[in-house]
Amino acid sequence: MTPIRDGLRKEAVPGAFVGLAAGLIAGGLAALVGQPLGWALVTTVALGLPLGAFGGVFSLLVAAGRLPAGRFAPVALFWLVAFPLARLVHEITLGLALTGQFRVPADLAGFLAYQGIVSLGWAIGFLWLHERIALRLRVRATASR
Amino acid sequence: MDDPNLAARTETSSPPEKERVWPAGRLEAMPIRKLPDAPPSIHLLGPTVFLVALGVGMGESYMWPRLVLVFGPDIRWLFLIGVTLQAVVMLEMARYAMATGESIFFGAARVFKPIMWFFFVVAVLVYIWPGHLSAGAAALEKITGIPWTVSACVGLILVGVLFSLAKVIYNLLENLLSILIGLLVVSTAVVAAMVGTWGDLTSTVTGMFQFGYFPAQAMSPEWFPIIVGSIAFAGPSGMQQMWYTLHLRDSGAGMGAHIPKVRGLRHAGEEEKMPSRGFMFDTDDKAELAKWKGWRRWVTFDALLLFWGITMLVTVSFTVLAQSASRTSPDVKALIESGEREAALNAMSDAFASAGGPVLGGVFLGFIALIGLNATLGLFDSFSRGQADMTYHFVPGAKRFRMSHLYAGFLWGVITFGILILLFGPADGPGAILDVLAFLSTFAMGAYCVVLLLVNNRMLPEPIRPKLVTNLIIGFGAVFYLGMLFFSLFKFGVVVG
Repeated sequence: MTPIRDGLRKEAVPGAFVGLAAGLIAGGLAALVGQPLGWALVTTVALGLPLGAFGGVFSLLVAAGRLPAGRFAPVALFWLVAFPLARLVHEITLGLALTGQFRVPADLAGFLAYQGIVSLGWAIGFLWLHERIALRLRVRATASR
Repeated sequence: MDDPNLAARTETSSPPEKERVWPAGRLEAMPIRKLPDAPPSIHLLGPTVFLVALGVGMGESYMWPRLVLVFGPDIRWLFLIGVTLQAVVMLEMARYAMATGESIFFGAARVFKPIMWFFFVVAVLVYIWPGHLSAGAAALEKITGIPWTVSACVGLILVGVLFSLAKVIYNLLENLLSILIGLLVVSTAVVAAMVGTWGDLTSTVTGMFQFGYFPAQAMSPEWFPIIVGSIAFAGPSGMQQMWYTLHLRDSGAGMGAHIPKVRGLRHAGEEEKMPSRGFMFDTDDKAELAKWKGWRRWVTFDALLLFWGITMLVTVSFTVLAQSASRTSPDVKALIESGEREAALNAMSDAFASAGGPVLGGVFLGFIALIGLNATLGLFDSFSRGQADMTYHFVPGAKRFRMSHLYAGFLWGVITFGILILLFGPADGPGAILDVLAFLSTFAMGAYCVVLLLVNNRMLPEPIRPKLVTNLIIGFGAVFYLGMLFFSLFKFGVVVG
């Protein structure tokens, strides 16, 4: 892996980790309470991957100086768009995996609006964890130098 | 928070030749020292995590969803008032702690020592009972099958060992609680996104602005004390806000940077000597006042976004979940209304399971267990910290011990008592004094509003005293808590429910 790619990968870690962790929690709990392994896996992948991907993009934007670190408003605006999209991917994938049919939520506008509001809550938790993980990685990187 | 102010603390070892002091009350005057720089920008990591861990509990996950099912979403305006009031109280607690590095208990002693002893006694009476463990441990029992008394006793011992081994207890707890709270917030948002509807959310949110809505049924002896209790339990209740001043100090915020951190028992020998009082900065110096404004901005961000925002998010999410559950399973409404907390929590879990698959039932119980764990970790640390602080400074002869020893003494004392009570006694406290404990818990909230007014307006230099509007809000808080408490007592003969 080239140094530039390696650097990008490291910068994307905090956000990607939080997104993937959210999917893993949902999938892990599904398995814990007796859901079939396939269902748990679909939940983990269908929710964790989009949230992880968007989280990684967010971290890269912060690292590139396009978004300020540790501020709430930019995070909230970012997830206002990204969170409903991630949930839409989740819903469509679940439908495809469980019924084999491509279905979007019945009231798409209402669905997206609701997810947009919930995204504010998600943004608080995301930023909280993101800051903590990013700080730890920075401290570790400084120590290893 | 890291310790960015080591240099500031080092300064205390070399005081200026002619020491300037700030006299406050009848106790020892505070030497003037430099105020450290505030964090460079609005920064997320702060001691609010303790207040969130303590404050987000049964009020948010059970009591308010219950009131919404009984009276409708419009009753939530009272929650908005309760949490907003608590955010202002938090800012005022921070004012004294950041300006002096002293706890609010020390501030109360500067005004009139018996006030501080009142809080010392209330803390012992109210917080030594291990009842707060029961809801979380019962939820864990439902998920894992492990009897709740076993997990509660094991949990108590683990907490004691963990805190005793820690090098700096604050750092360990802040790291641990930050991860737990972060997971709680992220997971709550994800589950609410999967279960709730636009209609549930709008009715829950718009209900917060229906000021003045108070149905006739709410004025009954059955419901009024419960509503009073729910308002008092909106966010941190009892003495939790007072303990926040100790966490703020240990985080190194403001003049807290000049005070050594409390260490675990294993590392007690490394603790620096605790000064016998706090410090004040030069409020006539414009540069120092500019730094002070930076600290106020920092703590305001903590209060508004982290404390207010997270408390709102959790309670809105749980209310949305409860509304969704009651639609799916009408039985859950009757159970929640009946007041059987455990039965209601299990019914809510079952309703979530039928609404969105077994995963949601498990997730709900997982949340309750997580909330219980957060509260227990925070409560044991806070209680021990507060009692050790008051003992160290105001019990004659206590200064021959280190603060860490006193902390460990109170910690293991409350753990031992808790295990004995869990095995042989009533977890919430003897039935005969339950009303007294509930009364004291709410009374303490009205009392600390009065203490805040006295301490911040009489013990701080004029340039950093609160503004009139802030004083009016805190004064309103005192009247609000004490007024409702005594109204309930005299009108219905019942204290808070």
